[in-house]
Order: sequence, then C-alpha cells, then structure tokens
Amino acid sequence: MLFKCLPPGAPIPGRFPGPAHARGKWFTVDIHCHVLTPKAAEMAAGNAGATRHPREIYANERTREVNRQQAERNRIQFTSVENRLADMDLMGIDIQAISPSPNQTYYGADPDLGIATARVINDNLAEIAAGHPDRFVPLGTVPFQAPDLAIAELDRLHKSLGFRGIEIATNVGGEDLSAERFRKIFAHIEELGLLIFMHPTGFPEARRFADHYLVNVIGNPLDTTVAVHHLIFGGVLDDYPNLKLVLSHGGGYLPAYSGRIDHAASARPDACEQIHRMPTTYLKRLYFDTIVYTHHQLEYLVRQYGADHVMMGTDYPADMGEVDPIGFIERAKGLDDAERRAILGRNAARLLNIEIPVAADRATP
Amino acid sequence: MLFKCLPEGAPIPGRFPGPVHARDKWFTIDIHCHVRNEKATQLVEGNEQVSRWFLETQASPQSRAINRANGERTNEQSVSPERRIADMDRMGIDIQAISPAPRQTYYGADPDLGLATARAINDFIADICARYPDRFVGLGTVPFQAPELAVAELDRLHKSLGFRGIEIMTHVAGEDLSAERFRKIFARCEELGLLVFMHPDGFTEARRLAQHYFTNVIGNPLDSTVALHHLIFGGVLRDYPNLKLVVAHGGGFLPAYSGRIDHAASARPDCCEQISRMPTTYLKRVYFDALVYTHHQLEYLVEEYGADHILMGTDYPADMGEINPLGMIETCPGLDDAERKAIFGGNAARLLNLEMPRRLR
Repeated sequence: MLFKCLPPGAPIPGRFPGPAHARGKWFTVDIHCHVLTPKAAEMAAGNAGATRHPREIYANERTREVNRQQAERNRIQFTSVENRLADMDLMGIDIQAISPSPNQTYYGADPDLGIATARVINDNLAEIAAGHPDRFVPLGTVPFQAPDLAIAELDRLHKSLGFRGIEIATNVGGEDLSAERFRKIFAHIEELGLLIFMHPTGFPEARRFADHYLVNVIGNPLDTTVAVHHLIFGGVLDDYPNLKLVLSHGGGYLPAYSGRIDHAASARPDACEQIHRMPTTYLKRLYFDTIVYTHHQLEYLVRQYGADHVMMGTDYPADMGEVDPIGFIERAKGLDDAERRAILGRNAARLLNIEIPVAADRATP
Repeated sequence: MLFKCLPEGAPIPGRFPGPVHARDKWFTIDIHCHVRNEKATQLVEGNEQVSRWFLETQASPQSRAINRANGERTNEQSVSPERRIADMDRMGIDIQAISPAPRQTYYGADPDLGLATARAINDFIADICARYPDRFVGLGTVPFQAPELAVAELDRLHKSLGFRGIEIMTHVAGEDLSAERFRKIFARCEELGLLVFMHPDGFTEARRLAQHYFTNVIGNPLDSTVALHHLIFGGVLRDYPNLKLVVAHGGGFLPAYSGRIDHAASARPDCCEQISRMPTTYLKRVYFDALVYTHHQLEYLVEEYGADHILMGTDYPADMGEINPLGMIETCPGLDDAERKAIFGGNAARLLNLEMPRRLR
C-alpha cells in the first residue's frame, strides 16, 4: 500500500523492529546492518570533502526533510547497543555483521581525516563486538583514498582487532574502484582472507534523481551496478580470484541483467581487454544479500547463483530495509530448508569464519 | 567466447544477418530495428552539437573508432530496404517495425531543425513502407523538444502517413520525459492509439562509462531505467493508462528489479506523491522487447509480466543486437508455443493494429 494511503495506526514498512521471530529455529546472521559512530561524525563535520553526499546534495527539499525525520527517529537504533540487541532478539537475529553507516566511509576526506575517522569507527565497532562477542561481528572501514594508510589499517584490523571483513563503498570520491592505485588494497584484502561487504553511497551525478527519492531508489543499486561492472571489466576480479565480495541490495541491477555483459564481451574488442573469461564467470564468484523485497527476485538469484551465494541482510535500521528477513525467507516457496539455512546464516558463517553453535546445528525446523 | 579469443573465420556475434530460419513456421515482427536517413544527416551537418552521437560523447576514442567501423560495415543495412529484406528473408523475419536510428531523433536541435529532420526521416520511412507494405511498418519520430510541433507531426504521421507508432528517446536533450510540457504529446499518442517504442541513446551523466563500451553496455539500459522511473513516479503512466509503451532491451534494469520501487512507495511519503497505485501496477502495463540475450532473463520477464507483454526485437543492424531471434525464442525451454507465437508477432500485430496472415490465425 502506498505510504500516503496507510490508515492511521497501521504498521509502516521499513520501520524496525519488524515482526517477532523466536531465536533458535534458524541460525541467523545479518550481513547488512549499520552502526553510526557519533564521534567520527563530529570529526568530519564541516569538512566538505568528507561530508559531500550525493544523496543529500541532489535530493529535493521534501526528501531531505523526510531524511531528517528518519534520522531523528532511528538515531537510537544506529547508536545504542542495548536497543540493537533488543531488536535483534525480537526479530530472531542471532548475529549482526555490523558495518559503518555508509556515509561514514568518508572516502572524500583528505588522508589524515580519512584514517583518523576510520580508526575511531573501527575502535567503536571493536568495542561493541567485544561487549557481546556472540552477537556481533564487526566489518571495518579503511580510507581507500589513501591506499598505503588503508593497508596499514587493514593490518591493524586483522592483527590487533581480529576483524574478519570490511565494508567498502562503491566509488572513492567519484573515482572507480578499478583504478590502478587501489589494486594494492584489494591484493592485501585477498591475502588476509577478509570479506568485503560493498555498500553504495549513491550515484555521484544524480541530477535526474532529485525527485521521488530516486537518489536512493535508483542511486544506490545504480552505483553498485557501475562498481561491479568496473571490478569485472577492469580486471580486479580477474587479478584477485579469491576475493570474498558481498554486494548489497541483491547486487544491484546486474545480477538479473547479466546477458548483456557477456554479449558485449563477445561482440566488441573494447569490452574484453582486461578480462580472460566471460564476464559472468566473474559475476558468479560474488555474493548477494537478500534485500530485494520480492520472492521472485530472491528465487531468481538463488536459481542463477546458487543458495550458497545469497546472504540474509536487513539494512537495519534504515527505512529501505527489510524488517522481516526471516519471514521473507521462510515464505519463499521456491526455496527448500537447506537453502534457507544457508541463506539465513551458514553462508555468512563460512565467509566470516564464525563457529555455528552446536545447538543451532541440531535444530531442525 | 570473448571477442579477442574468437578463432579466425569464426562467426562474430552481433553481425547481421544471423542463422537461417524459414519464414513459414512463425509469424514474426521485429519491433526493434533501425534505419538511417541520409537527408536528415545532411540537414544537421556542420551543427556539431546536434549531429554528434550522444551515446558516444563520453566513450573512449577506441570505442568511437570501433563504432565508426561498425557504421561503415552496416551502412547498406541501415539505408537499403532491399538489403534488409534479403536479411529478413534469411533470418525468417516477416515484418520489421522500422524506427529511426536513435541518434537521428535530434531532440537537441532547435524546433525548426528538429521538425525538418523528423519530417525527412518520417517521409523516408513512409516511402519504404509504401514500396514494401507487406514487410515494413513505420515507427516515426517527432521533435519532443517542441511539443506543439511534435503533436502536429503526430497528426501527420497518423492521418497522412498511416503510421501505427513512434519511437521516442529516454530523455529530451537531458530533460526527463515526465516534465509537464511533454504531457500533451503523450496525451495525443494515447488518443491516437499509437504505439510508443522507447529507446535509449546512452546515459546523460556518463563520466564513469568511458571504458569497456560502458556508454552503451550500462548507459543504454540505464537511461531506459531512469526514464521508466520518471514515467511511473512522475505520474505519466497514471495520467495515460491506455498508452502502449514498449521499452527496448527488455525494459532496461527495472523489470527484473521491481521490488524496490514498491517498497519505496510504501515506506516513504516522498515516493508516492504523483501516483495513485503501487508503482509495479504501472510497470505491469508496459511492454518489453525480448532483447536480453539469455533464456533465464526472457523466462523471468514472461513469468512476471506475461508472454503478451514481450515483443521480439533484434536491434538490427547494430552489434549489440540479437542476430538469431527465432532460434533464441524457439529454444527457450520455459516457453510454450502459444507464448512463442505471441512474442514472435502476435503481440506486435495487436499493438500495431496489423492483420495476422490468414495461414497463421
């Protein structure tokens, strides 16, 4: 039902927490959920390069107003650990792989501010996880704009903080991830066996997305789409075949529109210069979260890429999120329980080296 | 197989004509195929801003060189109806619904030049259709940038030239189709029962698309995607519920990614201001060509939108085209023959008000 048609008192979509589900039926890991680190926001405040967000710049006034209201409403969910745990308990989510709120990757900041905010955020995530190690697995951030500093922080994340993965954005201050200077970061990530969770920060040239919240509705899946094309055709996935790359929002547009890239690579010499295999060969190595809202899309992803490549995510606590991830996956008729188990938690456990509790193994839904 | 790995002498994908198919098995209409008109090219000569190919403005020099070579290679196919008929005979295609090469819609021209080129192209298409009425139907062009002139040309197309439809681009020199001033054009298309074939000409903000032919690989389905979002959320499809809109390349990205628009419209007040129904209600009224290259995509479109919403198209004679449309649809395991018939030609015949041949009714 359209938002404007909802009767008073009706539950509003995108408002966490969603319906109650008991824990213990499935082993569940939410691969897509964010934490806001206020201290880092204070450090970056006023810095134009750091805080230049296309989703804010191009959005019309109505959208910016709605965003302000949402930010006030869900700030506590972004920042309070107790509140987060209560929501997880209600929704049946065992573990959250917490990542920074995407705007806090601050890739547009100068290197010093970039590394400073990254450290503060990573320390915050580490602290949250240390307080509840059975409920949180942190995904950190590194300043992509300064590759050497990024690598140093990767090492700190891996060696000192024990992180299993990081979150990255879909462009670096407007520059694409396939640029030569970022290669060393991907090399190090692959070497350390870290998971990469890629999350968009909108599309930088969003002139036509001002209305109808298109800055997010199109902008987010679009930037993921452009980024994945560059990672494939630019040879990054060819150079680093062992990267564990998870894409948000079902991977954006490309996974359900994959014929075109193979056709282009076979029909055009300019579309296959830096690859050695067909483009979909690389695409099939990737992982996709389940935030696609419909069963037909979810089932298509499972058919094309396999249930072992699809991972439950919510986008907690944002309003474009899936507030009933367990119900959504339970009710997908085209899945069997083995596939549900994989999607709900086992794939994430495998990629993040999480030990599944013995009790969970025994539970047969 | 990658282009660079193709062995010497191997058939190159995207090179028309494709494999041989007899004509008498199915009734086939190609909804997506372009012609180029010399006279219109001459009219814009010297006007760099108008005559450049918008799609390749951000493309790498290498891509543009390849496009030039392709243009030379497909020149005869683009301008000669006799050559087209030979290719159609070979590929088993009964009818082509010919539309202007997208770069010749010239929405960036000033109104007078826009109208002049539109008339030249439409007359050219009309002439081809008059010479071979059993093989070609015309999809014309109108200068969207000048709505009054566009409506007048629509009337001429409909009354004098007997066209059943037009081709439109996915933006009007950078302006979105949902702008208030274009409404009267859509109103007239709906009123006249004209089919509207929407085709992209690359994406307007293509800075990051220079390499790997992304200006087309991403840019084309992307601009269709943006345009469809505007037509839905901007209320155009709400205001003109009987519009017969066909979108190229399987509709772009949106048809297989439709959950997000409904979620947004139910979760956000800024997403439902100009619509009265859920966004996918409008999306399901739209038609899509079958130019998606894979069976799994084609089957998904048929599952979600119905076989009566999918129309065969090739993009003849361009290299991103499907050179074996009959084979592709024949061998698609998830379709039955009734669905194939509809996709091959039944749907296009219905939308274009064409009579099916007696033998295939």
